Amino acid sequence: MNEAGMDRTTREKCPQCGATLPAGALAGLCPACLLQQGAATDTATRPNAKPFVPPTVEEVARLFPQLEILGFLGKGGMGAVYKARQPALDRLVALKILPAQAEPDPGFAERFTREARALARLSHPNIVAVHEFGQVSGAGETLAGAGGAPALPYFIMEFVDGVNLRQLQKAVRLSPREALQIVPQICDALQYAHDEGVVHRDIKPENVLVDRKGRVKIADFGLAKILGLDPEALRLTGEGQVMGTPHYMAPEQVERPLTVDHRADIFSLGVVFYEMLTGELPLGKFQPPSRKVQVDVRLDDVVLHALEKEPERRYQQVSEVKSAVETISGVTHARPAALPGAPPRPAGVRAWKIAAAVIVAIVAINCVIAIFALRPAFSKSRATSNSTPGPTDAFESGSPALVEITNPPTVVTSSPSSVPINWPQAESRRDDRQVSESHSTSTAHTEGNLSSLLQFRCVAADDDTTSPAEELADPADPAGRRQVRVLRRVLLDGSAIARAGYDLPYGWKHESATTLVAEGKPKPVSWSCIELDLTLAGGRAWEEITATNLNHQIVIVFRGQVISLPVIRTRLPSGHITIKGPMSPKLMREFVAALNAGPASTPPAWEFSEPIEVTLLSQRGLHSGVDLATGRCLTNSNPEPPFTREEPFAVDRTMYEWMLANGLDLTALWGSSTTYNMLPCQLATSLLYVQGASEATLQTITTNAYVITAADVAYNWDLMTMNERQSSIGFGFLAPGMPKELQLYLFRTRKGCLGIVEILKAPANPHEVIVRYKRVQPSGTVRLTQEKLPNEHQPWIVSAGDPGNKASNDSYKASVDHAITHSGKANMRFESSVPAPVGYARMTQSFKAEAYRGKRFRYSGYVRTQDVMDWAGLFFRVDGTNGNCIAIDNMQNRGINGTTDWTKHQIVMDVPEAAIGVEIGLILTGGGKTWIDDLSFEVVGKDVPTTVGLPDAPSLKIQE
Amino acid sequence: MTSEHSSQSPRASGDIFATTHWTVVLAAGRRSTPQADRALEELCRTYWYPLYAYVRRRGKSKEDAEDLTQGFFARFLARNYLEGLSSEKGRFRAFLLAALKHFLANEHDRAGRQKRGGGAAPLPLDWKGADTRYQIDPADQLSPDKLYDRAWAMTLLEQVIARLRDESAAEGKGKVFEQLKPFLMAGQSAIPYAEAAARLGLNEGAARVVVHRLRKRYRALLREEISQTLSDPADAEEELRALFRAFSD
Repeated sequence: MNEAGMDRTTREKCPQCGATLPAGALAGLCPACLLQQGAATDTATRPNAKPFVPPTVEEVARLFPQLEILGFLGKGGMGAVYKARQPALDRLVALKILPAQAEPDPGFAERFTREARALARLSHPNIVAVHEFGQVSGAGETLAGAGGAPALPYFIMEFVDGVNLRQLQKAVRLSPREALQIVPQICDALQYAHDEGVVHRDIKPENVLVDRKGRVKIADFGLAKILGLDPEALRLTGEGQVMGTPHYMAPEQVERPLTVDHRADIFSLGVVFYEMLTGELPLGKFQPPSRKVQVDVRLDDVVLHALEKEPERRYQQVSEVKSAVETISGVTHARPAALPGAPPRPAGVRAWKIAAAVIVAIVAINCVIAIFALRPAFSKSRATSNSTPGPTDAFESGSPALVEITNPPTVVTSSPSSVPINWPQAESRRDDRQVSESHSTSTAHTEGNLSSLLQFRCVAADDDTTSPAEELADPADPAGRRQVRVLRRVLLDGSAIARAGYDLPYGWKHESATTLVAEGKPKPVSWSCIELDLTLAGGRAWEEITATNLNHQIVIVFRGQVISLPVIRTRLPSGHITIKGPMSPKLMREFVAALNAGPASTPPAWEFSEPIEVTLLSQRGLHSGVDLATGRCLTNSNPEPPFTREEPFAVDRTMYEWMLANGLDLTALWGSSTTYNMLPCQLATSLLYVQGASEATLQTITTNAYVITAADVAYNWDLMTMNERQSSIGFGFLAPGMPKELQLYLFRTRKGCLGIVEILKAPANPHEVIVRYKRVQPSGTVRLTQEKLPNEHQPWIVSAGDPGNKASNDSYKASVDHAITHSGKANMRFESSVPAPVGYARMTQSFKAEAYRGKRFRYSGYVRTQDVMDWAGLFFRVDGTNGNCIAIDNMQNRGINGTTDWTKHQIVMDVPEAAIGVEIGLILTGGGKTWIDDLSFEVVGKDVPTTVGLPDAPSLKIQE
Repeated sequence: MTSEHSSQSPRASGDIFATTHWTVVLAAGRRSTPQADRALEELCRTYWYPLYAYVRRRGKSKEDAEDLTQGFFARFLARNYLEGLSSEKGRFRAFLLAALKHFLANEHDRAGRQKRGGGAAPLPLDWKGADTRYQIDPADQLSPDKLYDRAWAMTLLEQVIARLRDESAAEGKGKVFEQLKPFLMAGQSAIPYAEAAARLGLNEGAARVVVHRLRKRYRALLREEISQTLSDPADAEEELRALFRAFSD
């Protein structure tokens, strides 16, 4: 490793494309150019062909004394273009010089003259006018129409002050609406030319110019024919666009060049159209545009019809394309030719301005911020990319001064006949389903319910019942896709406010971690947080979506509607916010503002005046048979590092293979709150560690097992008791046929304590499986310890989680400390050896929720703390059917900090009807010690609506 | 710099066109055969860096990214993802990324992270080099997907160039290779043969031949390397274009 070489900061540029060359093994080589050349083929057909070197401005000035040459505009595959002025007429023109013929071609002069005359006859507002043509010899003598000596053919043409479509597309992603305004103009031009008997033959974005007023002008009509370029030659001569040009050609242009007619242009138009809509070329088996971007599905037909392989099956006239497009866009454009006084079209004006702004920014200022000011969704990467190729063809605007960088282009005030182009914030890209509805207002999309407007695709949250293929149907997420990703901000309390960005392929912002400084704490906390992809059907403004993560779900607030997703990733216990709801806009604003303001300003409790309810989405499949179960996976603590944590049943290859062979997907083991795919005869999945029962004084650790029933998932309170120190208990469901030795593997711990599991069929229900743990003493003898404990009394489970720090995960421990007496009842000590607030731990116990549903509870107790770095507090959480948290209060915004004496605290919370499990306990985040005592959990209100007529749950006291 | 490539397990060049690494892996499916294991490991060892870059760009810290990448490979090498993902199966590049995304999506909890690696020995990957490399990669804000593709293309090209260099060295033409290397990037018409000839001390015709051969061999190796990642080598051109597109914006 040559470190010095790798650290080299000044980089060479590629002599071919100007991109910065990479360091490392490819030093000195440009990957893009290597690939480009790798894809090309060297041809031996024209060994003597000299590359076309455009004449310098001075040479051109000498060759064209009648013109004032103002500058070089660009070089393309078919010549070079100069900006010039005809002094006599005082008009700007574009001078295009074609490459000289390498080999004498007697037919060329005649062909050139014939074709050029045809071009010069074309007079249409959407076609670049040819003023003059001819050939000029190197000696400076103009040989208009004459053949003979090697000469440079040239055209003097209308000067278009604008950019070409390629440049436009590179600079800004065109909206479908803009595409729909550009295409009819291309159609007009082509229809006119076809009527005149001229086929363009080389329609591609480089040849579609858009001027400053948004007017489309087609350039280079018939040039391909004049130059006698076969597709192969085109491909080879198109320097810098080797990958591009042939893709716009109709199949018959490649296969039967002699039969080409105007329908080839229709095909090329189809390609251009497709690319404008999706950002991609329709290569191979391509998807219809509406599958890739949010566009009217009817456009699929138009595009696909134009792209038919057989000319006979395509549109036969380009005017048909125009009619179809205009029918869909709901706008009938008067042909500008017919209406010379028509107001300037807005098509492309916005995009053009931006494009120009970008070009200026790149060229002149490199002003990224300005770009963002122009359009939030804008591509920073593009704006900053120095590798943006130069103009590939003529007519680039060479005048940077014309662009107002700092002023966002104003929304075009359009004539009634045209569609206004709005900024994304106001833009209404409608869901296809709403296409037939009014589209004239930007708020049309507020109708319709939220879930139909938002298409969620969680990158970090899924459940394992979804097959990867399904979920990743479009893994590459090509740039064409309108995707919204959440730009997020995590608050210290673990909630996150997320802003959905717009058009993410470019605007995606990555945060390597959000660093937050804990209130009053010296050490920063650093984590990454939720990741959520939202594909937004309507292209909504990013301010409109708010997401927060409760402990085990993401809640999205959008325009007053609340939608929740099952858990993504929980980094902190968080989740004190109970959202219920439909929230009023006012409430939502307050909510968002408070979240944005950070924990310091968070009020002690959220109190919504409105009834609030969070919908759980994850009911799926639960009633469809014995195929789903829910598992919880609690992380654990371990007091004695170093400790290599082992996957109890993944450590052993034999075991692992056995599981695979039996259709078990270990993916299920990887989540904290995951829905598992499970068949009754299969082994399970979930893992519940109770490791780190550290203190000898702690006599009992209990895990909760599960029962899987056909209809639902519930906790089972069959318990397992362990006495060993530092033991770990695996937890799972076993297939009846599982080999015995593998059962042992399942629960082997690092201290040699073995546990095995037994599967029993429940006597009452054939679909019910009861899981029973057997503990194996270190000696190896098996002793079954199974106790049935009443709901009211559960031993404590210790769990810890730490978002970023491995070490701390082993640094929490819980114990009963008999030295402490407060009232002589429950005495728990809970401490962390971690010196900084890097994680959390809980001591909790769980209840089956049946008896508690629909009631309001007070959970109270005395808490004492010592050197608590972050906060400590009581913890009260309710889980829904699949382990998702549906209500939680962990006192995090009124947590106890530092060193405090015994103080009574309480949490009053409602247990929703959907509750399956209730958890109460103590939480400690960061380092420190905490004691709790005298806990009580009691019903304080029956006014909570309930649909289950259960007796009141008993008021309960924890007895140690 | 080059030794890291040349030292990677030498590829038997005999049956390359008969089957590709990826074909072998796919054919084995979830079964473990020595041949498929080797092929899969070879692929992973070659193309792990793009994954790391992807994870980093997704906002993970160096440590997390290492962890995640390693964890992913542990699971990947254990053939966890070889079922499903059918739409990506044709291309190892797309497949690997899809599998990685799936993996990251499931990586909810640190508990999971602790448990990673079950059942498979970790791949020995050069983490130290990785982050250095990531840091010196262009700092513009490519999307993770694009960065992945770019890193992929670079890795591929590094392989190809290293092979080309090794081949030249084996023929005693190491210096010639270094001289002519830049001509691999230039369009045919833009190659200054006279300059090449002068550099090599050949006449122009001879230089033309040498350059031509090198370019031809480069293209062959490029396709060969690409084909290793495809289930159908006929897709090489399309894959090549796809990789090129990663640099297009």
